[in-house]
Amino acid sequence: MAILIQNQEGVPDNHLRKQLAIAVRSIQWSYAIFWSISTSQQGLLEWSEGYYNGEIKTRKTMQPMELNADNLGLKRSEQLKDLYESLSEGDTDSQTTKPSAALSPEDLTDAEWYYLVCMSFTFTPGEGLPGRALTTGQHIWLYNAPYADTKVFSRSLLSKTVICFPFLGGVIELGVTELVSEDPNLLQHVKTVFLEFPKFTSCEELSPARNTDNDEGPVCNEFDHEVGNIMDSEEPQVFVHSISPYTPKDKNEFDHDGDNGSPENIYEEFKVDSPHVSSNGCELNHKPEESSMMDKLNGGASQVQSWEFMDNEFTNCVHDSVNSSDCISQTFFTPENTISFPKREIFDNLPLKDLKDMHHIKLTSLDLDPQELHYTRTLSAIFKNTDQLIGTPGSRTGDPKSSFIGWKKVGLVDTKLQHIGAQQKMLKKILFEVAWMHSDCQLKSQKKHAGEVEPGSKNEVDDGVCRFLLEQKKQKLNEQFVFLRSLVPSIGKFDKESILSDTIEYLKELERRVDELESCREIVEEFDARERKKHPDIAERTSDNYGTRLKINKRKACDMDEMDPDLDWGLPEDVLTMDLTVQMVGNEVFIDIFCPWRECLILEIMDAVSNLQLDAHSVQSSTTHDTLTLNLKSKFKGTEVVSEEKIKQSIQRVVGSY
Amino acid sequence: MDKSSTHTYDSPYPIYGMAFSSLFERIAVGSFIEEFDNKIDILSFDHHQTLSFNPNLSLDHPYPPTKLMFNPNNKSSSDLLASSGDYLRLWEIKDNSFEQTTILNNSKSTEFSSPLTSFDWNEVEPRRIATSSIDTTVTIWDIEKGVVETQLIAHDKEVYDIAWGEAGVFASVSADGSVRIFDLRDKEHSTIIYESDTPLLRLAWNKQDLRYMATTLMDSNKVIILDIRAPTMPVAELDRHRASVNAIAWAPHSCRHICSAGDDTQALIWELPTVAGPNGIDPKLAYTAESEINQLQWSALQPDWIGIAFASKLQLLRL
Repeated sequence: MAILIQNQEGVPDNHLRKQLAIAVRSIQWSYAIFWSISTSQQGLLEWSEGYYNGEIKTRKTMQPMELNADNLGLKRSEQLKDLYESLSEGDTDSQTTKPSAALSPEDLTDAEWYYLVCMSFTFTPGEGLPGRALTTGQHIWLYNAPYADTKVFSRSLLSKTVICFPFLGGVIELGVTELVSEDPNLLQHVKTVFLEFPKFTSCEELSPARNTDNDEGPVCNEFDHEVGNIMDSEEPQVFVHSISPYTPKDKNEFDHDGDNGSPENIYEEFKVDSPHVSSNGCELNHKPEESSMMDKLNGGASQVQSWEFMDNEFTNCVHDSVNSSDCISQTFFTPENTISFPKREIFDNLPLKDLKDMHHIKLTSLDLDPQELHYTRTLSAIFKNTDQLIGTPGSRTGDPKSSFIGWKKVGLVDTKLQHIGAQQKMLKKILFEVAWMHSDCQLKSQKKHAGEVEPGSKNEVDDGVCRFLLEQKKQKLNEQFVFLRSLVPSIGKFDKESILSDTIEYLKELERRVDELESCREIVEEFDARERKKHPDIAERTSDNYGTRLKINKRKACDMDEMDPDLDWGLPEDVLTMDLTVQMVGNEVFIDIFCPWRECLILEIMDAVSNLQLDAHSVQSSTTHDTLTLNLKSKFKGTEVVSEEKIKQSIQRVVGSY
Repeated sequence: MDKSSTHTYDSPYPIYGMAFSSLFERIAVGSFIEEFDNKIDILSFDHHQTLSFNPNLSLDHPYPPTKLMFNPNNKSSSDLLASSGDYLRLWEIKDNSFEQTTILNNSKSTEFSSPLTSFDWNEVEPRRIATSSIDTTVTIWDIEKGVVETQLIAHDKEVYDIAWGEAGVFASVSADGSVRIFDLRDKEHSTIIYESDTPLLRLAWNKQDLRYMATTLMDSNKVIILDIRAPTMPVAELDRHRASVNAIAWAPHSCRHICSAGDDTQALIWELPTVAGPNGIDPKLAYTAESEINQLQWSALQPDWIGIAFASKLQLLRL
């Protein structure tokens, strides 16, 4: 699959990778990437090939044989590509099914991560560094990339220096993690490498690289076979096409050659070629490479001029390279001989370290430009193949139809759903009402729907819940008011105001009564005390001990404890527990009596009241445990008003006369 | 599951709670009856490949369950279901029977538990369940031991939702309008990463990319996407719903996709772009239901299925 894709791009990847390898290693930079025009989306630059030349953490080889730096580097780049593909396929078990994915994510250094993530990027013409380089046709040397405008370079987390220049309708990008100021010689050197490399492949120095390819597994071997079959006829054309499209070998291509020059044409050519390329897949063969290079060198000097999409510098460079091949081959030999794998500790303290360590909740103040976020997003995105899960509906043949349809913007015309009275009805019930159900079982019977209460408020944002909560409170309040009302006897009206004011009045009255009862008791106590001196009360003391009597009795008992115990005997208990309150409010007289019960007592009291010219209009009485409780409301019949004291006295007389 | 794109199950009662098993093709739905006699029904696919309900798997639940969730990281063969409401209850679901294994009461002092608004089951540490309550607290349970590991006063007001990020880190949203992150290694402090004037009702942490979480506001059509590294400023506000949002769920297998559903009867799938355009973010896909969608779950077992609940219906939608 991977190979197929690369082939469709029409660029022989292995060859190109070697070119990239030579170039980047000769200048000891970290990586080289070739961005080519996408076959699926016109004008879009996407990853085509790359070579990684940076630090390596864990090395995994598929075979025990020793490889030199050449092979190692190519192999590593291959493995990284495989890893990216296996990761982006989203299959967790792809590493087991795909033996070539020998690397796992934890084997990677930060720089390798960066390299890996770059594979996910695409650029439209003019976008990003590669896009710009393509549109302007000029090389761009970006110094101190992390501080560059994100519009210029969005992947600014790792590489400090980046160069981009157009090449074969695509863009070559080179990066290093050190700051390197612009150096025309270096640039020229690199460009030379790309043009001269094919010649170089015939040299022995590169043969190990080819061996590597052969070692890569059955797939490659297969390709070699095919190469053998078709090498003489088609293969050279294809190759020539991809590396230098203007070498006429084929009629079809020749036609194209005439107006060749714009990326679109190249793109089309690649399309035409792609079947050949993919079926042959023989970029590995270096014989056609050689021949193509020869072709190019022969006709190069004149035709290079016509490359409209190459800048002048490049053209000059081509001239140079053609004219001074000795010099060039020297340049190549030097790195081949001298470069061992550069192991520089340059990737420490890179932001990636943090990104990988997601266990830290780092509230860093990273620049939140979304461009910047792309890098980190992609990092995690490549672990999941997002594009496959949510494809265009219906695009997957054989798959069941999706329930979803593509979202379409609905204008304001559709107002059907604009006004929904109760928003988030169910959610609110769950969050607010269910809680109340648990805390207050009463609520369950009151099926009031929060949202349905008085719709149409203007401030709708807070309103729903406020109304709801208020309603909850209201309900509670109402219940409490009902309860309060049942406690206060004298409430006539049902509205809350009167309930409250009546309750206040009632409480005041109760307080007054408490006071009066207190004073009344004092009188009775005096009376009791006198009586008790003659008749010591044993019964009272017993009751105190058991604590079963009313509070009043208790107190009295306590008081009596202070008295002479010798005298405590034989007094009838009825006398002890008499309480009498008389209260006059205007024309009204309230009489409360609490006294021992005996026959005809109520009648006698009523007689006494009547004698005092009082007309009783409400009488409540009860007798429990031989005790009479009598509440009497009365009015004066005539104009004559008897004093409270006089009423008390006459009632006491009645109660006391046994 | 068969090849048809949508499955519908008609429940005898309104549905709110819903959960996909992480182990079997099994779905739990919780009734919403405003009485003391609610049910949790376990649905599965019968031999006709239709969603059906096994009468032996009808669990009694006093008040409506506020949330249902199966053990997200099931190593054993038993399928545990948790429900919240008055207490946190754990049920073991078998093919043709069930057993209520535990009732966990978060109140230390009384037999009455503070009502629970939601909970989340820790995927990394499956013995941990965090519950949120209207009494402003959050309780971390060790369900293996059946004890409270920690109880924190998390917010100033009712806590409405809670979500684990990793083994010891969770976030919660509240009526006080804040999203707070807690780390169990440092219980003294919490980090407020977002504050609004409006109560926040729902919270979802992107399990595929822990830097992102999503929350919803009361009476709002917005889904707020937060980056925990950038407190206070949402990275995105998804506002294409035409009425309030009721539920959100991140894709279980993709870090860039989130689904939201709301009163506009729509379930929308969004792909978070690498670069947000000036006109906001448009959803990728949409599904329109018959009425307001109250619940939304994305199956982790079969990520191409999304479950929604509206009125008394459960629907499985294929992506």
